[in-house]
Amino acid sequence: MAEDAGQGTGWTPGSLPEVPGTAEWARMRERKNANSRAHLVDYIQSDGARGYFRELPAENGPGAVVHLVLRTVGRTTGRPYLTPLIYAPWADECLVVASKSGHPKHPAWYLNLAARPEVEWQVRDRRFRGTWRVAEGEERTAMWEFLCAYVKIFPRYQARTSRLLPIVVLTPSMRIEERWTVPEYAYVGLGAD
Amino acid sequence: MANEQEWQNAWKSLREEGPLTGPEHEARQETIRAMMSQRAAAFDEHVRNYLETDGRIGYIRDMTPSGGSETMLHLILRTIGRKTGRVILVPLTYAAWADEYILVASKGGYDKHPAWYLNMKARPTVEWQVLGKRFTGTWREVEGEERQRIWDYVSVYYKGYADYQSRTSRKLPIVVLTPTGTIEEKWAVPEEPLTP
Repeated sequence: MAEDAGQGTGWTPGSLPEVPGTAEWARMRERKNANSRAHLVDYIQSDGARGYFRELPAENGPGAVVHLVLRTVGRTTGRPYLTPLIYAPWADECLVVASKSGHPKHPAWYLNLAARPEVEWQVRDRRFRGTWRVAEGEERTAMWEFLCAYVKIFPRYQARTSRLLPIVVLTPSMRIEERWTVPEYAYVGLGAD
Repeated sequence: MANEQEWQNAWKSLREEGPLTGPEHEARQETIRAMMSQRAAAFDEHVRNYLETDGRIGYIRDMTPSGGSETMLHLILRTIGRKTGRVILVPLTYAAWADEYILVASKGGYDKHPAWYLNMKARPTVEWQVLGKRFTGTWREVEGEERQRIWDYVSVYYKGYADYQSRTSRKLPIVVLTPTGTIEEKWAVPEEPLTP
């Protein structure tokens, strides 16, 4: 079954207020971060047996959407950060959206990713290293059209911000055998927004 | 497929009818043939649109009429007819499984296996297209614990599968496609209907 690792954190996808930056936003964001951390721990510990697919409320998604864990390296700290994200399958590539729920600023994972040519991610029990690109032009148009149909919450996030939400395309080039552990430290997107 | 809901409703009431004899039975067989032909035409259109647009039309489809969600993903499977030797292209719902692709040989809960499944099993390798990319690879039918883990996922992904399973004594085969290479050359859209 689609489990909810974040149960009890009082957060559901789409429950953020429409206006970023308010006190209500900050409260919900905190809950979202707690949810993300619980999701991440569950995903990594179970090697994706739990947390790969989760059910979203009907107004936000198609039902069960799939997730990956992105591993970036802090552009200033040099420390690894793991972030659980909804992804959309695009043939053999994965699409992730740097939405930060429609916040005016880019998410930290996106800035960290942009600082290096390679990135790593885990899908279920498989870890990949590969390259990334930000979709542009006609390709972006086709992907955005698909993403809006695939996860209904994305157009809502886009409507909240003047940022054009970056669509990141992950292209795997090799598998990684070694397992990851969840960092102990708090970081942006997971408890320190 | 504008009339998908109507088709599903008609199919459901046919299923729920009791046994018939004589002319009534014949009439129903005729209805079933006509409905299967409509279905084949809809598959045909799906494949053509998919190949012509590299999946921009047909990759994601609303499958609520048949018990799925609005956002089911699709690929085009390329098999070789085990008797005819002909190339057969079929549109199928798939579920993403890291770098692999999951198919369920459900045939809507019908008592026979779908033709694509039988054709696929006759060869060790298979080809498929996802969006604008064509893959060649191997297939495996999952069993035991792995099957259960995948079933837990696909039965949430496509809620209709549980209903399909309940209609048939077949255990619905779950197939995992593993890509081993890509195919550059595009597949021609056949001029003749794809499904007989």
